[in-house]
Amino acid sequence: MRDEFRYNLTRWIIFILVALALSIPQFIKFGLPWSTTARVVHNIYDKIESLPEGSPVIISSSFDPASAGELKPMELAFVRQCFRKNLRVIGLTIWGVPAVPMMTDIINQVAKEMGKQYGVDYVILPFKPGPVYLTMCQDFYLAYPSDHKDEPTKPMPVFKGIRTLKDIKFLMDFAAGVTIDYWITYGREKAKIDLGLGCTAVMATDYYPYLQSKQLLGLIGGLGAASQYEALVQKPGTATEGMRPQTVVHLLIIALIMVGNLIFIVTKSKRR
Amino acid sequence: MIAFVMGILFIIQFFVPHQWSQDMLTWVTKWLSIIGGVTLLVGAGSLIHIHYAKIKRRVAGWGYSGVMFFGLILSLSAGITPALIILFAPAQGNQSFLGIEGINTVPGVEPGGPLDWVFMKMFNPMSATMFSILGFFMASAAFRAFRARSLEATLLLVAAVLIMLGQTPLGGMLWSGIPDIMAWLLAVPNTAAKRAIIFGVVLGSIATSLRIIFGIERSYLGGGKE
Repeated sequence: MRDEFRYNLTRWIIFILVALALSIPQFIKFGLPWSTTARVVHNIYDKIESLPEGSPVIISSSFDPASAGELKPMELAFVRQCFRKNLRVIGLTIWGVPAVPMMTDIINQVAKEMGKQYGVDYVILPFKPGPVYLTMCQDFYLAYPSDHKDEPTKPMPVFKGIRTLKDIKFLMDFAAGVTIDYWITYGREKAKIDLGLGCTAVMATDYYPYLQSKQLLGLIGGLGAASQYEALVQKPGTATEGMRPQTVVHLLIIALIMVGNLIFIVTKSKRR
Repeated sequence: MIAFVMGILFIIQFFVPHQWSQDMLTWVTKWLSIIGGVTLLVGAGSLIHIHYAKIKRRVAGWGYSGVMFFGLILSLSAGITPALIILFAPAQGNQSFLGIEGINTVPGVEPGGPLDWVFMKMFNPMSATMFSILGFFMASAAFRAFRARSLEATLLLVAAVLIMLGQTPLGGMLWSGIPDIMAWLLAVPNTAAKRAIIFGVVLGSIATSLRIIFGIERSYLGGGKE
């Protein structure tokens, strides 16, 4: 009974400390500039900078609100860079229905800011069940005969010169799941297009082998990398803001690990 | 038999660039999209069946199944009701949905529509909250479980601390070597371990696929081993 009480009390103290570590830095502003940018993040930025104006780029939004905290800021920064470079943006999702309104919101927000025209500079495609990536390798318009407003895609200027997935110059997947595996298999290996991945921090470690094999050109993993990307496009956003609570929480967790180990060592020596 | 024929056919198709082969793939991918759509219905049917059974048998936590039905009916109504209203409302504008004039998108999904409201005001915050709770449990678990019990555990602990510092700007501010160490940890030991895991998983997938193609593995049909 006493042990259970102690267990619950410790848990509650940790929960309160985490809540404070998250909320206090929201009100006390302090700057935390990155000293360096990770090479894997820079690779994506460099690729977009190297593309000629008007190149078609696919943004695959493969996340729902659960992962939006990490993935939305990096997608916003990426769309901003694409529009700044006057690239043609094609937004789609192979994740599921919940990704569509989020993607629409993100792309429309930046398009409005930068005065981009729907159908000419960018387009948003609906969610289609089944392996659309496979159909896109054969015929883009067979996979997507109409956009999310049910308007035919083929006459749109944004699709000029696009016949199959092979005509796309770069595909960036913002993923909270395994969708990038499909893009690697069909996008990279079948259509031979360059791929980039934006994912949650917990997923990032899984995709490092694909960087070494050059199946992925670059990787934006987690909020830290998203804030690095915001710094590269010179438009700080919620990821940069999020670095304050993330730093404090990481320090708290390191402190908790140290305290836990100290208790472990003391208890062990007492038992001896 | 279907699995065997299609399995063998599409292994061959992958290596044949002839137009016939490409046309066959196009034809089959159309069917895959149709089947993909139908599986959504099967999934919804299965969900309803499982939760209905839970409520009927009054199993532990059956109330949550009731909440599931509430959410399902609410979302369905938010999507279907505007479409029904439009069916009986006078046409406006010059765009159409399913041949109905005055609508430029799926009814209810447009910003401010009922389905958009359900998504933005209910699904969005609830989903984000569920994921956020993980942070609290992870802090508690790190305090309890991250112990330097052995050399391997100590190495793991040191790597975790370096990665945590490297994931924030503070790491580089404390010592310029931390981001480099983090990059090395991710690119070398992590990549080596993950590559080994990927190879294992892929070899397993190939073995399972071959078992399915040759009819050795039949559990996906709903039956056990014979």
